[in-house]
Amino acid sequence: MLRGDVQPTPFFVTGDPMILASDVLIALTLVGIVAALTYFKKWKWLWREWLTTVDHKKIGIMYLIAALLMMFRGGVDAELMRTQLALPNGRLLQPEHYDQIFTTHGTVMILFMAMPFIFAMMNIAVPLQIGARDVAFPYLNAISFWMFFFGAMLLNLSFVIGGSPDAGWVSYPPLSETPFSPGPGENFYLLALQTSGIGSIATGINFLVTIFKMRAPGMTLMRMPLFVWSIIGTSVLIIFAFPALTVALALILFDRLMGAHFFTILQGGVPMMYINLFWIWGHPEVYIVILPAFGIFSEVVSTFSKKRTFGYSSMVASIMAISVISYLVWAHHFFTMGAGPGVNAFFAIASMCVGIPTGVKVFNWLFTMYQGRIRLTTAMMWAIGFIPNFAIGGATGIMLAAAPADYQYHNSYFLIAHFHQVLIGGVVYGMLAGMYYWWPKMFGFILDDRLGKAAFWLFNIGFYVCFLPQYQLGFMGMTRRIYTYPAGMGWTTLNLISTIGAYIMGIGFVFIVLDVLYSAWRGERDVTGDPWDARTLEWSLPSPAPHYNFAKIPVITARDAWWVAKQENHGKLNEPDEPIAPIHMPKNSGVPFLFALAFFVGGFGLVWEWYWLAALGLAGVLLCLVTRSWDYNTDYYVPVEEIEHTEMALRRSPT
Amino acid sequence: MSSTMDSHGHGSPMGGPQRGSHEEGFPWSHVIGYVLSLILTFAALVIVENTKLSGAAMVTYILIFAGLQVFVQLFFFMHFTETVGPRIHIVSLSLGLFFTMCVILGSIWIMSFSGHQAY
Repeated sequence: MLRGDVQPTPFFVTGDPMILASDVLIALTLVGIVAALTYFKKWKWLWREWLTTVDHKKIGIMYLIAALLMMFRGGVDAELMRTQLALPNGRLLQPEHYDQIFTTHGTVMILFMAMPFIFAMMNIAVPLQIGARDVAFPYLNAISFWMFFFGAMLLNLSFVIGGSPDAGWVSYPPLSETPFSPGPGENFYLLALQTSGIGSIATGINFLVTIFKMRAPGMTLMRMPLFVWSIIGTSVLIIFAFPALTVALALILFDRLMGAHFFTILQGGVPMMYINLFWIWGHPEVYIVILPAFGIFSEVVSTFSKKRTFGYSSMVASIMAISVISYLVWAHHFFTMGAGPGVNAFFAIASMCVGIPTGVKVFNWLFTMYQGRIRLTTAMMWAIGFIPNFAIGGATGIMLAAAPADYQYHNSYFLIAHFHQVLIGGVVYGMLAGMYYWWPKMFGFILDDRLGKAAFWLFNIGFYVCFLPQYQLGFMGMTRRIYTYPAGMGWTTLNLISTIGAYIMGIGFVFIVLDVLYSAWRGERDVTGDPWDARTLEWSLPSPAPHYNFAKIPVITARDAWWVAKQENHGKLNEPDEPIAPIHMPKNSGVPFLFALAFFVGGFGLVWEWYWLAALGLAGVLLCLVTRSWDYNTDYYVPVEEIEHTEMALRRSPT
Repeated sequence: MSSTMDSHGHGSPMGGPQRGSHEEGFPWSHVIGYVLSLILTFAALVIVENTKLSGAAMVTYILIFAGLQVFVQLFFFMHFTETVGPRIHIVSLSLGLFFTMCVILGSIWIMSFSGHQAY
């Protein structure tokens, strides 16, 4: 039946000249990287400083690089789609190729761009903001990163080996089941998400424990920076939401690989259950990525208004309320499935309720800026640009939440425009604000402001030009995931405008890359450690911070501890009046890298149903677990002389 | 295993092997817990595959097994009885219970399609 009589899938994707060109480019890039590492004798450096590191700051930087690379990849997907749709009867992409591109665009952007970007910000800022020397489980943190990394690689590999998944980023059955999606593409999606999902859950647990257990003395919960509060919300949501995704994906995998029938109607399965499970994860996931952005906006707005955040307690309450309510709205993604008026009414009202705490937060940011001494740095521009975006995205969200009206909007370009408005306007703006804000803390130099603002304006204007026409296209009946449309629908002009907007956004991204390159070369160095005259603990440290973060853990007496220290104590934190003691730190380890590599090998085996390779991968995983279990040599003490030496070199008195 | 501790004595959430608070030796409780959780899982499968119960009775049995499974996990794996924890434990347990109930009851409600399901 259907495409049932499958020919064996060729190992390498062939046929499409665009993919062949990418093959060549990827091969050349790999050769270039290997050659450069060998020529500059950097292999050892790479292994010792990065691949084996358990330092949260370095792991954060690796997440950031991965997120920017994935933003490039997902962005190229987007530009290809917009080019295809610019004019009627587009011929750039074949229908199947278009399906693959929208599937990987969504998957990459949510799971391999937004997620590592929030993990990057968490890793860089949270331990420094709470006065800790690392996260609670540094080794697990490295495992999380490498699981994410190899999961992302597995998905990206599908593009040149075996063929990309093409059942949409949500991968609904029956389309994603074997009869309709034969071949390895869908398996790549399932196993890539499972692999990186393990890392995500571990990160959620890690940061929740870190925040509850590792705060500096005196830092009560209500003295924590709001970014840290937002990470509590995110971690709770990760811990409770991701298992639902794991289950949903595992059940499809059973169906595809082992002949189970969880979601095949003919054998008594219920495909709607997948949709239900997927969105039990899917909706909290939206808040998993937006809450850290909210946290960053609180930090940035407060710092660049030179005021403490207006309504701190209501901000905390809003974060917690959003975390809980976001668990009660998942069915609004499938109002049209027909679960009945009772279900739809409940989930419609819950969806509208979640707008209330969000509204509280927006007003608090506005009141923080009110009568503040505002400095329009690039980070602040992204934060301010977010507010009108989120107002429009919120309003259209309420329109979608009205269940009867949703029957009209469902899966139209109106929906596409809405979720891009909140996800780009909220998450991407937030992460870019955070990147510009914490960049000096990560790398020791400040990103150039003029290039940054040019990037902001290009991206921001491009955004509205791209997505506002899509609201109207939705009203005019254009549905998502169509690969072309005939002339004479009246859609041509709006589509062309939208595509021009997408190109402007692309140029904006190029400007961000230029900004990074230019600033690395000529950018202003951050010699004070506090380039923004900021308020929280991370800015009391030199940029970049020494690997143990704090030579002495400060005693916290107030919210915005560093600001208070600057106002009342000549920029000196309360440190215990005792000599520097040796610092207990975790040792680097290569096992997390190998552990995740083993998952990658095993996953690749399952993708192709080569069970010997899957078994080999599993054996590698077990070997890593056993090795670590009997390894008692996992930590060491940094000697006092080394600390004093480092602190002297950083020009801080080590008294 | 061990975390980065500071000299103030707080901040090591796991303790690490050197502190090993409870039983050394063979982890019998983990094995028992593992076996019990397997039994409960397969019991649900047997109920569906090998009995001719009505749908409602089947769902009731499965929910009972699931409830027992929660206790197995809490007591055998999640150190539920180990220490008298701070208040935050109560908060997180209640939150977990709340989310679990939302997911289960919500799913049953949604997937029953107001009694009009076609299968």
